[in-house]
Amino acid sequence: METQQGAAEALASIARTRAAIGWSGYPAWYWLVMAGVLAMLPVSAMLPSWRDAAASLVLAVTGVVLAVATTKMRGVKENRRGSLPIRDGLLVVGPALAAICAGAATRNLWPWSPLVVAVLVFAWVATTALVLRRRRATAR
Amino acid sequence: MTDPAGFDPVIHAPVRLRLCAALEPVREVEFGTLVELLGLSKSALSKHVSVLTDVGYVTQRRAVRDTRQRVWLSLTGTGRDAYQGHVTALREIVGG
Repeated sequence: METQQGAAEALASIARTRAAIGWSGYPAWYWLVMAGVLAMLPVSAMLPSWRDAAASLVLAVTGVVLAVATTKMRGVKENRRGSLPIRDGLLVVGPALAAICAGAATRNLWPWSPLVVAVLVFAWVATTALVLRRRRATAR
Repeated sequence: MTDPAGFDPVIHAPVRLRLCAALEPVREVEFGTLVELLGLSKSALSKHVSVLTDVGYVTQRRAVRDTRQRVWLSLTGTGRDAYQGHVTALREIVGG
């Protein structure tokens, strides 16, 4: 008969392993490039409209191509849901997306806001992703 | 008192539980990646994989990448059901 404490420890071990597999195998440069791709989004908003749209499309395609290429390399084949814990994903990308939206909204009042936002987005995404990657590295 | 329905002693062994937890959210994981992730030796992982393969919970696929043969592991439908049932049983135990 399993005890309550034993079952709780088993569930905690499951949670650690799930988080670890989600971050497993991504090299550090992957997160730096992803941070760069996200940081370029507000900068592309400074360009004239058709160039803006084209630049955003190129960035989105770059992100997807990079994600697929890295998936093959990391020894984990994801299903459609993806294995990165939702909370971790929101922590990395959520504030960055909020900053990008805020930058777009204040662009007319302060023309340099996209550049400031780009720096903040890069710093946030790179730092949180690299810290979480290290913390979740193993399931032990 | 007995363990709740769904509790699976084959899965419950700590290494096998972590192995199933790593395989459940994805389609396939390479053997080498699991060795690193779980912090085990290749032989220790092989032993646990064999136990899970024997009961039909895990399946292995061999594929060549960069001229080297690699083994990819995945949970079978039966294994996925058993693992999910086991997690539900653990939650029942914790919930009292």
